[in-house]
Amino acid sequence: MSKRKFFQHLPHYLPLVGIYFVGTLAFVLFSYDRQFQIGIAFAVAVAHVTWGLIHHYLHHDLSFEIMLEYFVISAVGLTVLLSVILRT
Amino acid sequence: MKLAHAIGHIFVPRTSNNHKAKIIQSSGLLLLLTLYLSFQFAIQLFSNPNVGVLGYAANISPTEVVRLTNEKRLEAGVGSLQYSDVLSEAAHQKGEDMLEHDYWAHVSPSGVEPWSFFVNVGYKYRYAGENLARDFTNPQAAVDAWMASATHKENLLSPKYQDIGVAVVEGDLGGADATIIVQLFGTKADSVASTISVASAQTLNNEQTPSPSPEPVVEKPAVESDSSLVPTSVPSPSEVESPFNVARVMSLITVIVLMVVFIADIIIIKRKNVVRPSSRIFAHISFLGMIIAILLIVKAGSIL
Repeated sequence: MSKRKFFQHLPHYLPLVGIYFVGTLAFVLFSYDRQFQIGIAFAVAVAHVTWGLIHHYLHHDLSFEIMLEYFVISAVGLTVLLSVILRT
Repeated sequence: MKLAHAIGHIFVPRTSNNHKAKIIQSSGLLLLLTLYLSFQFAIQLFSNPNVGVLGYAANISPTEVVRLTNEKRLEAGVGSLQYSDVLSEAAHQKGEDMLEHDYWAHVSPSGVEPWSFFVNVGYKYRYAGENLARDFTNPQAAVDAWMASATHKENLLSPKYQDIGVAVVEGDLGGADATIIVQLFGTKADSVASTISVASAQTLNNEQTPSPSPEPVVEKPAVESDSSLVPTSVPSPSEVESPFNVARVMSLITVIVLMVVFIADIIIIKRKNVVRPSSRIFAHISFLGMIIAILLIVKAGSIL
């Protein structure tokens, strides 16, 4: 990805990074509440897919293959988080 | 040579994989997900108490739970609690009841409330409270978790309590090995301590039901803990072998490998100046970065 492209996408990247930062922070703040942590895990996974769909739709390059990539990455992330949270 | 080619095909963008490492293609990720789920299933299977391969015991000392509780109280300027072996017996009964009836709650599925265990052992309370914790690998982590929760902290630091009882029980809960800490707080109905007036708004007796809260064990005079009154913990083998730690290490390895491959992908694709339709790698790296951060933060154990 070129620098120019990166800065072009920056207005979309910043909210995404913000969502992940808030998600991580919520994990720390609610470290004693497993149900809430499970909710956060689902929320960030859904946010990742949603962000991808909106971002690529706005850039007119949304395709099935790209959608699938976001879904699968989110599924891997969610599975990893749940596998640990459910054992806490 | 063939092995090197196969590894390159899986992890490095090149012509053979259409300039995208196989492991970060949708098909590769689906395969990875399947393998990961199989591994998780294996952990679950081997951590089953009946199989007993990954079973573990945490090193939780009730004495230490009491000491740490009183330490927190002293830091907060509240008097330390007196260890009560009667309350510890009540805590032990509560823990055994949870294992026997397979529940993780203040009130059992059949409606037995925490306070009935106080009554069972003949502790007539004016005030009573309960804190629960499970699957912590050390007492400090459990007490820290209680302190991080407003309701549990309120119990732990409440000046209306004078006695404490703690029990640690281990067994099968919900199909998995569990180490449960039961912490009971109480003030006897006939005691007229100065602390009672502080919480005058909540005068309770055995007819009134106090609100459940987290509970560790009480200790004798807090500072000079009498170890003979407190059950000693079973030394335990390995935190490393706990299902939680195995899952966490495996998860970290998986996510870090994916992240490295994504970063390598950005660098190599840019160098080779390859143009291809793809999702945003930066978004995936941010997502995986968050997961790594959470995996490093998350701790074993939950409280109630």
